Amino acid sequence: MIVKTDVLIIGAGGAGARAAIEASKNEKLRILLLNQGPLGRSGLTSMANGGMQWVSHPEDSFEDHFRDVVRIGCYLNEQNLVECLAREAPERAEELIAWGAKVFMEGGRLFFTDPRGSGASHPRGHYIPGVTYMAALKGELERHENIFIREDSLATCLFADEGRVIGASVLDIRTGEVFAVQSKAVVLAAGGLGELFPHSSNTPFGLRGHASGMGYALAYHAGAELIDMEMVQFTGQQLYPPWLLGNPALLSIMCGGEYRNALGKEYMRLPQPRDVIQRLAHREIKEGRGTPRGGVYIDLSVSPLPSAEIERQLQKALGGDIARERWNLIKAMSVDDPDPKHWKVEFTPGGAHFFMGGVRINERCETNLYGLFAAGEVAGGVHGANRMGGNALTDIVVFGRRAGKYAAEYASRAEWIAPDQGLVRQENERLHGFFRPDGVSGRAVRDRIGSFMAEYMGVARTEDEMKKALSEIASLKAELPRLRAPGGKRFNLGWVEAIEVPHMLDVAEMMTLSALSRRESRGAHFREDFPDTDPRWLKHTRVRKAGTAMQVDTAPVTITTLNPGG
Amino acid sequence: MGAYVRLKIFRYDPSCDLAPAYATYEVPWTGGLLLLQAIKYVRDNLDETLAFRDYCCGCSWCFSCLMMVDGKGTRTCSRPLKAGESLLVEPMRGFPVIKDLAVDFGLMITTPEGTFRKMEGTMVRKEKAKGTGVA
Repeated sequence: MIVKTDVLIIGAGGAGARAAIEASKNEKLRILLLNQGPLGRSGLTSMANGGMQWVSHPEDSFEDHFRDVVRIGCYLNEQNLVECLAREAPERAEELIAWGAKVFMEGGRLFFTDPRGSGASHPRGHYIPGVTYMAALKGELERHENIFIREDSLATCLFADEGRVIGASVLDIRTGEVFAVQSKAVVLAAGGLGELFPHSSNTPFGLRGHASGMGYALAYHAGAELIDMEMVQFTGQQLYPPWLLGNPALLSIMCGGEYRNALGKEYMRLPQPRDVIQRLAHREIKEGRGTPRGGVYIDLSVSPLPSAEIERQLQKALGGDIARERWNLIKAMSVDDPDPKHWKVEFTPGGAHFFMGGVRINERCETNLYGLFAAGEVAGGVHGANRMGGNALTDIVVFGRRAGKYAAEYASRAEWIAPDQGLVRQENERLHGFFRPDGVSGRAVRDRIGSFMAEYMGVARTEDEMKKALSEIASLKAELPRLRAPGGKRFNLGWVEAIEVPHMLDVAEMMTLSALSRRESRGAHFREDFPDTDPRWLKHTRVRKAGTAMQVDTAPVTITTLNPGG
Repeated sequence: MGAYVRLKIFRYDPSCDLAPAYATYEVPWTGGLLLLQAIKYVRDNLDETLAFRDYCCGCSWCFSCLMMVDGKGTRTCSRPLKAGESLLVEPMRGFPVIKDLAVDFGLMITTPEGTFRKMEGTMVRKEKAKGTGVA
């Protein structure tokens, strides 16, 4: 079966949904939007805690927003992209609110989150819980009749023809059918890769968050260039109380807690960039000052706030009113002492939170392949070496809109090219080849990817350890021919895992090779063997497929107005 | 001998089964175990063919883990388990079953009382509401 569409969008999180809305403004075009789970109830946008930055404070300006993002990104940002981000953010936010997203207000005005949480120079962080953000986009999607949505549909490969992407192979998870999509333009908005790490804010309670990193591998195999694949942003992963999710840095700022190690000594004071918070916690644990659970903690007993206020702030960090049930659960089930002032909020560093690298795009969201556009976390270059808090929700709508606009423009003057039938059949056979009587499950391989990524590609990296990661990757690749999916074809998540795992290994390899090649420390990429930032390394690492080999080199950074040190 | 919870789970593959059946699984209990985690334990360790939506937003926001637990619509990610508990777990009522506990929520979802009110306007488009919702 071949489905024909004008614009195919892979991923219906914030970026994909916004791209679809924009592309659908050309009413002659048919837009097909794929999502791995139910629309608006899966993926990372709907689990976003809600910080979103746009310039609205009277003292703030686009220039300040731009400068903050580039400084925190350690100058590795594509500055042309950051300019788009800062300038278009207010318009995109107003639009979301008009579509029904719930922004937090206080005393009749927009509520600002504490700028110390993100390192912004002015109050700029607003709060739109991810689930209402996504619901607003979903409502808008339903108002456009030329958008066709397929839930539970996974793109398994892109079809390319002489440097142009012409379609994709798609698995309908519900029925187990595989079909080909032929499209004039393809927008990749498949999200991040938190699932490569065992601890991740993308996978609460060890359940999936639809962040397997498939999008990077799809682009790579089609021939796209990827940049900065070493740049993983880590945050603290809560160890105790269980189920208390949220960014420890925010908790500490809002509640006035202190960062302490197992000896009870305060080892750090905020504000600090996210990468520094991670490294300092990592050092405490590595040097033997970690708690028995393997973390450090935030001591709330020193807080100047009364218990009731701490409780209010913690609940707010969980998402306010709509998370009241979870808050009650935390209090009822997991904590011996109901007074939060007596809590030690323990966390461990190295929870994968966000990925700054990805498919290389220009300000029109074009990649190096004709017909392929990318937006959101799967695209790289916007955030440089470190993402400032509250800019992911901004990024996805700003670049989602751009990708939709330029993909529609491209599609309106392009022709369909039928994918080679041999390739379509080959992909179909590959997918069905996982049903074999015995072998290794996708889950088993996935768990092993997680353990070596955490051990060798975490907060602090060395050449020796990363080489160990490469040999783990090689030995796991040798097992791929034995990958096995259990049971039947219908809603078989074991099959989905078997499909994802080879791609995840490719992504792990891209990350490790990129991290090995960057012989300096910059932002989220910290090398114990090269602890300093080297001005000669103000360039992107770049990964491409050359024949069957993975080729890593460098590419220049686009600088428009802000030079390092400026 | 550690504590267990016993889950009686609805099993049905509409593409090949004549009728639904129930299977019972015993899951080792640890303090703070959530029902969705126990269901994941069954899939990972006891029966790899069990289908459910294993996505989790982690904040009781998304409702993709909605199932009938002892006949009541429940977000399984927010349902803590007690040691020795026995539960009947079925797919959410009012939505077509894809397989086992995974259902097709369609383009809307009915949320339990209380939450419904707060999310009105953004979460739920009432004019399109269909399905029986939560008991």
